[in-house]
Amino acid sequence: MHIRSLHQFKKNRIGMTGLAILSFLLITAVFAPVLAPHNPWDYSFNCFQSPSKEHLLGTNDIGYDIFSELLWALRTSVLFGISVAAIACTIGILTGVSAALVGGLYDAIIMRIADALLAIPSILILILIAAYFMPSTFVLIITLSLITWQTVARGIRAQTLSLKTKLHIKAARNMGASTFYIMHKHIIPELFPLCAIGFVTKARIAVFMEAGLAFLGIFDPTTKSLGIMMSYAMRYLYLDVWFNWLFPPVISLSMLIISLAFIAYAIEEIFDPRLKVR
Amino acid sequence: MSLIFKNLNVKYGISDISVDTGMDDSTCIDGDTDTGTVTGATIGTITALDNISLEINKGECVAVVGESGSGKSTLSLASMKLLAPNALVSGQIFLDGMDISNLNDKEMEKIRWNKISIVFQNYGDVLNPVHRVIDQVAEPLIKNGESSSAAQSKSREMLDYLKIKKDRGNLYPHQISAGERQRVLMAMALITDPDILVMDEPAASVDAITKSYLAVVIKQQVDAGKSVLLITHDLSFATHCSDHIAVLYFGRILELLPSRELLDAPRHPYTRALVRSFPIIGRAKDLAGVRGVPPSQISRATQGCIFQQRCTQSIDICSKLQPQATSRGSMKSEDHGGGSNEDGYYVVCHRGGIATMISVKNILKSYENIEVLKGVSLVLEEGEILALVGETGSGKTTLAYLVAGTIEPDSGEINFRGRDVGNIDRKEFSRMVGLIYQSPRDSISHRFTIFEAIAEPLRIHGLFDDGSAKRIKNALKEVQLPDEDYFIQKYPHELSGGELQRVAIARALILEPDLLIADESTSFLDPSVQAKILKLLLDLQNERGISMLFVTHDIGVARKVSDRIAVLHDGNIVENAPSHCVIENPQHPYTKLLIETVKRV
Amino acid sequence: MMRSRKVKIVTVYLLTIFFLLFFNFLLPRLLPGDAILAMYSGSEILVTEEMYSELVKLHGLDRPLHEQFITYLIQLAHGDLGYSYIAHASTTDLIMNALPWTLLLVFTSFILSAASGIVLGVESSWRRGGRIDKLLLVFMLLIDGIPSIAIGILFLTIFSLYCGWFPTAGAVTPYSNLVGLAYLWDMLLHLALPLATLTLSQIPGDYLLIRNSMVLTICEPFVLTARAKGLKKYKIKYFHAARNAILPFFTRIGIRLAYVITGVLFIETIFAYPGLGLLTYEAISNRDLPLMQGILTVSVLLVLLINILIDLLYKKIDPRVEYAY
Repeated sequence: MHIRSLHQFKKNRIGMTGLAILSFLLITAVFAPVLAPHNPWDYSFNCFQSPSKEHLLGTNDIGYDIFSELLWALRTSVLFGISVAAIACTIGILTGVSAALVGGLYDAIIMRIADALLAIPSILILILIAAYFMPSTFVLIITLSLITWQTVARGIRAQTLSLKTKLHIKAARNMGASTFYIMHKHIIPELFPLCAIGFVTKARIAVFMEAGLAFLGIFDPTTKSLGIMMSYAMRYLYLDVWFNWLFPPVISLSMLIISLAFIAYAIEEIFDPRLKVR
Repeated sequence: MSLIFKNLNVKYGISDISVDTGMDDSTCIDGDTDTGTVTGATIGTITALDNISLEINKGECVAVVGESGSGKSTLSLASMKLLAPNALVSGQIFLDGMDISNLNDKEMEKIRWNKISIVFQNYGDVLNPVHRVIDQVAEPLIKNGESSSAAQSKSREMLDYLKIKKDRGNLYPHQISAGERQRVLMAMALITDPDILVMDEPAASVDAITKSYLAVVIKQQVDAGKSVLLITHDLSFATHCSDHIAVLYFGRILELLPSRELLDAPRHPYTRALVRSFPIIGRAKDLAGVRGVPPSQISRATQGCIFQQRCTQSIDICSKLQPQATSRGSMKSEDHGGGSNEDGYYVVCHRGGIATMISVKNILKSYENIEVLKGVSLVLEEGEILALVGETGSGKTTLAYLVAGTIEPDSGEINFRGRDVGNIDRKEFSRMVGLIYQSPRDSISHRFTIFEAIAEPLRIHGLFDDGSAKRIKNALKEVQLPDEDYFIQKYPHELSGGELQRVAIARALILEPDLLIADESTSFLDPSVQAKILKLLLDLQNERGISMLFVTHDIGVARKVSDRIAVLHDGNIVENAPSHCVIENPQHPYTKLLIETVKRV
Repeated sequence: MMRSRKVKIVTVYLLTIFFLLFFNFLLPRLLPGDAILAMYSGSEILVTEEMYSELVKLHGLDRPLHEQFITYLIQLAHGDLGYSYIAHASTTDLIMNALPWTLLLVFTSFILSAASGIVLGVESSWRRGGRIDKLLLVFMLLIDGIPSIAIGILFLTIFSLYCGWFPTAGAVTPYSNLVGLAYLWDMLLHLALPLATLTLSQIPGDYLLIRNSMVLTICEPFVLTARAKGLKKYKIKYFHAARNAILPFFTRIGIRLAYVITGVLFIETIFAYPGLGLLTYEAISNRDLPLMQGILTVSVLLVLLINILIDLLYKKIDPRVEYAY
């Protein structure tokens, strides 16, 4: 990435909007224990209360404070998103760079596995594994990472391959630069934007998957999750609870994913200025 | 049936993201955004074409030549209103007398490819990669309402005319060769039989044989009455195909000249520099390149002549006032003041084109009743290297010293930049002329250190001061000698002949003269040393843009270094022409003899 | 070079099938303890002695692993995806009943979203930097950020529950005995919201892909050539520029399909639309593992089939492809 990229990101309205929303949600998630007015596992309140000063979004069917639940659920989403993104990107970068640098059979094997994984809907595998093992959140994070690294690997590999043939890298090598130097000064800075896009995209998929799996009922039911909230709220739609119970998690989830989509697009635009809205 | 540009100006608005893209690259079109609206943050404009007026009449081919970035492609795109949306256009363009400047895209659709079509250079995907070649050639006909089959058969005929094998038309662009693609582009342009053809580097990517066939096609089209605008950087292709040539430099036409005169008689210093940079078979002199670097778009001179920074003959007014076009006269004559004939050819230069530095007229000179020079006339132009060739006793050294002003003629005139040399102060004149002699051992006092030897002209002219030591060291560096103290304290006898000749060159150049006279300066050196000294002289001449009179008995050396050769025989100039002409086609028997001798020995 | 591409593609297909078999055949057998008990634990089925022995026989669990595998393959080849003891029906039948609805949904939404994504992307990039482009881009990024679950829930609550314009569940009104046009209308009413949700969730992806590709294509010299030829605007836009710009769209159909299946799963669940997605949801709720396996098999085979079709078709769309590899 160019030196000016940070400056360019600051000038990018879409990116900054995304970053603002994301920062707000991140801060909320991090400080959820402090911000939540009640213990979200405390079902001592009356059920189906309408929003009030005491319960900003009312209470649910078993008397949880919905607002506190929402804050904790956001925390789960963020944790899940960051973890999966970090692990999947690490696998993707390592396999992508190594495949490009090593080449040959190793490259072929890695890339064919990546291609094959693309054809299998990851949600069905997660469902199957969840059904067999009834895994913890941690295992789900690992599993999701293991079946979503391939897009990052493909991108990183292609970029590394094109970098390998770049004259300035050959020139550095001819000047006697070590592999470490070349990685450090030439390859990694060039790969950074791809990694950034990969991270944001993976985080986005992970956040969505977590909510989705919880919505379908294959997620640790004691954990607070936006998906679980939605799925329970759906059952009591006839009670007109959609306004205080259903929409808050729906909107929170959308805001989180929108912010990530905005940031991903902004990085892409900076990376390839030709896409820019002039 | 004509294409006329009248006071055409094109500027590109630049936004901060596109600063580093060259202006010839900004051909990327953006759909519906109208030309002339600059969107987004623009931080300034780049002038691509500056007040261009050019006429291409029926049955005429005009070539526009120039370096990349001169605005050639902008001109070709402007002729069809195809410029990028960030282009700001003013002035008029007439197609068959109709002004297209104010036509909208809809109206242009009818004109494009019917009245005027363009042959693009074959680069990248200039043909659509997913459509068959023949379909792309036929497309304009189908748009005009012809049936698909009629259009196809016409296209096939056209491809035949361009010597593309029958089955090739059914292939996709990536399946045919580069030369074939270029001819397909030509066929596509000719398919609607337009009156006007624009060709943007039509021969840049093809082999010599395809190129010569394309030249034939262009000639046939011109003979059939089409007007052709040929954009190219290939000077010989331009002279071969066109009737007139316009020389474009940074958006301005600096010279308009008949094509046959481009290689042998350019009148603008820039045109000459271009010709010097262009490889022509038969010319032995090394390619020189245009001196200096092109001005960047940002630092482009806003007033004065655009070529001023790189010109070999710029004077005060050049940096202050924009020059106007002056008639260039039919053929080069001794009088460069500009003729009165109205052939339309012009040169844009305050000095009326390449100016005369020295003109020598009817010189007679005898030593004790021996006539050495019998009415010699000679012209030395600004920035030119003239080789004066002749055998010992031919009078060439006498002529050189006459030019240098060290001896006086018996009769006749010697003018330096329009002034009679006799009226110029000796000292003033000698500052403008540097001399390098045959023998450096004799021409440098053995009592002087190297430093003192080079400092001598400065001391003589009272210019020696605190900065001189640095100046002398720089001069030594320029002639590729060490500038360390141990070296400048050496005496001439400690140096080799080659080194000493370099010192002599440094001494001749220390006053920054406008004319350098080298009298047999390399004749006593080893061939390897001679080669190095010659190269050094040529480089210095090109970088400083000075004129040079190179006196030698060796026509072989003359051929390698000079733009023009004058042969002196028995006190008369018997041959005076561009070097490659003299060598290829000598007129005088004596010249022929000289060349024969060189070849034999 | 041509051959190596074929080898590459076939390898990917084989690997995909290997992964499929791994998840379906090996995973339950890798479980600690008894495979059958593990498969049915947590579900409402009480595994009786009789049923246990029947299951062992059915899966060949009493025989060595490689024979079990062969049995499994033979069953698969006969289109036998197993038996669901929870639904008391053949898994194949269950899936085949649900599949047409899903195909209807996916296929229609694919056509709609591709058409609108392409048109919007082309028009937007053509007006790059203009007001329409900017608005469309931000709008599409916004839609792109709203997950399909959210769109579905919003549509359901607003249009079905609040406004009451559309039915809340099913693909047709049950026991209505409608025929002819009335039946078709009923079907369309049921289809409308799931279709709208799935289409809307796909349009931004198509739009962004086409816009990006088109923005780069517009700068290609052949577009300038087309413009110079004085062609009509729609010809330049679609016949020359878009024709090239949609190529990356085709190469990505296969990959996209796997994502679409995820969307279908949620959308059908939300709207109780009786396709594969709802079937999956029911299988999850009932812990019906044989059914889940069957659905995975059918989905993967479907994706593979589409991929093969695209690979065969792509050569016709891009004449350079034989040479490019």
